[in-house]
Amino acid sequence: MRAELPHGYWNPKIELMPKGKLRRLQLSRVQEAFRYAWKNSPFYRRLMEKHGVAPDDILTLEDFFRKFPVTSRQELERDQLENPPFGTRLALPLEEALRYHSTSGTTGKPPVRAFDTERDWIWGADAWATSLYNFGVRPTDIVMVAFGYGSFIGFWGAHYAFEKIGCRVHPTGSMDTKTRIRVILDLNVTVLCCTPSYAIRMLHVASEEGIDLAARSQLSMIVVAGEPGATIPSTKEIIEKGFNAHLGDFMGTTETAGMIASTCSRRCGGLHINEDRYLTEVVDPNTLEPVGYGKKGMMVVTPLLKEAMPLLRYATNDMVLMERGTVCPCGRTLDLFMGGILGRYDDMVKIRGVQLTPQMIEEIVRGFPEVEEFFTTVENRDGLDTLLIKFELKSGTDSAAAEQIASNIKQQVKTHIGFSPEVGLEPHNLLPRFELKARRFKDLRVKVN
Amino acid sequence: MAQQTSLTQEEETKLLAAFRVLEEFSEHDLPVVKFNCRKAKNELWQALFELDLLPR
Repeated sequence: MRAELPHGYWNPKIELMPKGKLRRLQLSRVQEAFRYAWKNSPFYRRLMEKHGVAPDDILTLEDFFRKFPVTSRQELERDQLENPPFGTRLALPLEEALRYHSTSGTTGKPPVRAFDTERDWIWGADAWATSLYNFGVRPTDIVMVAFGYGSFIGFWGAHYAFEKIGCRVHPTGSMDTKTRIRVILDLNVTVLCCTPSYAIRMLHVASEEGIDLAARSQLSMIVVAGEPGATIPSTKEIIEKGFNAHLGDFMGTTETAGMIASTCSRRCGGLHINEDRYLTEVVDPNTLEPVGYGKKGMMVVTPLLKEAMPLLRYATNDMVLMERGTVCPCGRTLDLFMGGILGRYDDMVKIRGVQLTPQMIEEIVRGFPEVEEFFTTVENRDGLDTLLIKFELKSGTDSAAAEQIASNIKQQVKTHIGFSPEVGLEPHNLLPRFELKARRFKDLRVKVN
Repeated sequence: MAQQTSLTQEEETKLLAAFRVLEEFSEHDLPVVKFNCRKAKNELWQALFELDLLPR
């Protein structure tokens, strides 16, 4: 039986602040960020002049939303390609930057490169510290951060935040999964920090080794980020049950660094937004008009007061649904993203007239505990769009069960999504495994422009 | 211009006072104050150590 998580506020002044006061704080920080970018960032100065807007024109948050356009990732990539290697967004001389990190990069394109000053870095780690403390992490916790510690920002901020809280941190950059499991058991690790895919991978490897992590480990919290898995009910259940630990979802983006929103100890199903550090909007992805509370839309985010590389109204392509903070019993006034990141608009595909996200497939396939890994493709066969789901069974599972599982997956996809896929079993360990940013969905249809 | 090679008595006193303030706030009830001051205190400790100014 899992013990309740400790409840507390990292910074009650902000977390319990009345909404009107919080909006005024956001406005003053947006005005400062806008003025700073106008003065120091050639990329943003050009954009502001192009749209005929200057710092004195931003008198309300509404002015900011209406008068200044969103920035897309493509614009950041283009600026970087035209002004190599770092683009013109940088707002200070390069020698004043302290840290470099990059996005994972989309196919065939260079990653977006970013810098932080020392102040930015502390700012990002502090956003993580706020989120981790509010989830229930305390100085007595023993933490494993299971990621590669490379140029991808990943869990760097988390590492520094755990240290700031005073936890004992075990970085495990080059360790393989078996060694990490051994460390969890031998050193009484209480908090595991990784992607949801990797948490599941760890459970599979432990099972192959005959280790029941739910029974034998001291883990009480699993901190996941980087993928939407923690909010997919079937995936969440696998992780919480497999480790007998509370699962916390933490969402951020490489371009903004830090932690935008996260699960609190009351775990209401929503993620509280760190609204003093991030101004977030939810807009219709096509019209860019605000959709309001309770409706799905694209998250647009402005990190408040980044020094090295300002970012204003960044269109994340993340699908979210915002609710008022009062939905959560924790007492925070900070708004929530219900269910975290619900999908990505650039991952969404249309098959036989149905809008489909990879999360919809994952929710179904993870509902079968015998399935260890899966991969989905969309192909055009004889002029008909076809969804193919390949899956692997956990080692030791009777392969006779495969046919029934395939048939059940097929039936559930038909019921919940609206058409029948092709479903097939693959030999064990053939499908790719992931430590960061799992991609289990590929659209192989030829696009005609 | 020649580089200053040591702190004045007044500067030493100020640094030590800053350390004591951070030390006090490292025990504060508010996590945002406690954990940030503790980190800052430990960084300042390093300077005091290197300057041999730590209170004995």
